[in-house]
Amino acid sequence: MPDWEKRVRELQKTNRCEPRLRTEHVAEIAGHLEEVYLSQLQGGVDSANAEKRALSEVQDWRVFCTKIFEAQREETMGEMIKKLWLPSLVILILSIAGISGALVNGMFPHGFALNSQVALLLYVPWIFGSFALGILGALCARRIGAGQGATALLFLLPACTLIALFLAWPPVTWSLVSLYPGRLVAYLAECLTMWGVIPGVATLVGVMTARKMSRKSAS
Amino acid sequence: METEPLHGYEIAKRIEEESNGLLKFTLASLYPMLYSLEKRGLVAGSWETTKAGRKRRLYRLTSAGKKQLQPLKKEWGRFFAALHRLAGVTHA
Repeated sequence: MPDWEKRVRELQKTNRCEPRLRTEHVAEIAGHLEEVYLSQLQGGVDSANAEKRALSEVQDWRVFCTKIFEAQREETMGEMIKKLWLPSLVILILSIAGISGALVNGMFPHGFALNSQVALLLYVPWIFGSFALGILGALCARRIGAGQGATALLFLLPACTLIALFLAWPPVTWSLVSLYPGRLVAYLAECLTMWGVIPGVATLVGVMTARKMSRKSAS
Repeated sequence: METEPLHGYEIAKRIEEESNGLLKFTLASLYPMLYSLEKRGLVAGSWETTKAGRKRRLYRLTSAGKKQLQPLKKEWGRFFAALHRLAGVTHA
């Protein structure tokens, strides 16, 4: 008896199906192929031909995978956005909680203070935390059925909010602008890089790592 | 599915049997449709383990699916009756 789940995964791989079928779909399709195979055997067909006939149920695996993906996506773009809101919000809240902890401990939202040991002890773990949050968010999003493309966008809301937050944070922004008017561009660039781009990239790397992990486990 | 939950292979088999082999649903045509119906809340799937230890997914019509099916049945009835009249085909 062929291992049908393995066969389905192999067929997806050899036909370069993208996006790949979900684990439960692989199991269900493998079950269907097995039923066809067994019914052929019962009808007196030899095992090699029974396998061929079962596999002939799908002519083009790439088209099939795309159709399944589209069927899942059908009328659910709004649903997908809803699904992404929750993990995005969790990442954002935890990220802000982490940075608040850093701020309470005397770290200012600009790069000048990063020379201090406290800032490095808080900033670096926060960046690693953003990476971990990316993994967590992507795993949550996949679990509630968000597609891979949509999951990759998870980092956007936290990154954009952090950038907006630090750019629009009046006490620090305006005091620094008034103190160092000539350094405004450098200050903004520093803020964007340290408090938006770097954590955003760390979250994105986390999301991509989770995607890679789930792909590996699926194959 | 209207009367009892069925799994994918069974659905395909029933359609083929009840249409005297005229309508055939392969795996490739059946599952995208089933998943689409499930996404729209018209059918609901649940996993069960057979006595042989095999896992399979059973589909049943939801109440929303039943509601949608009734007017469709009437519409199809009218459509096929019209075709019969046009083609001049009558029941034996």
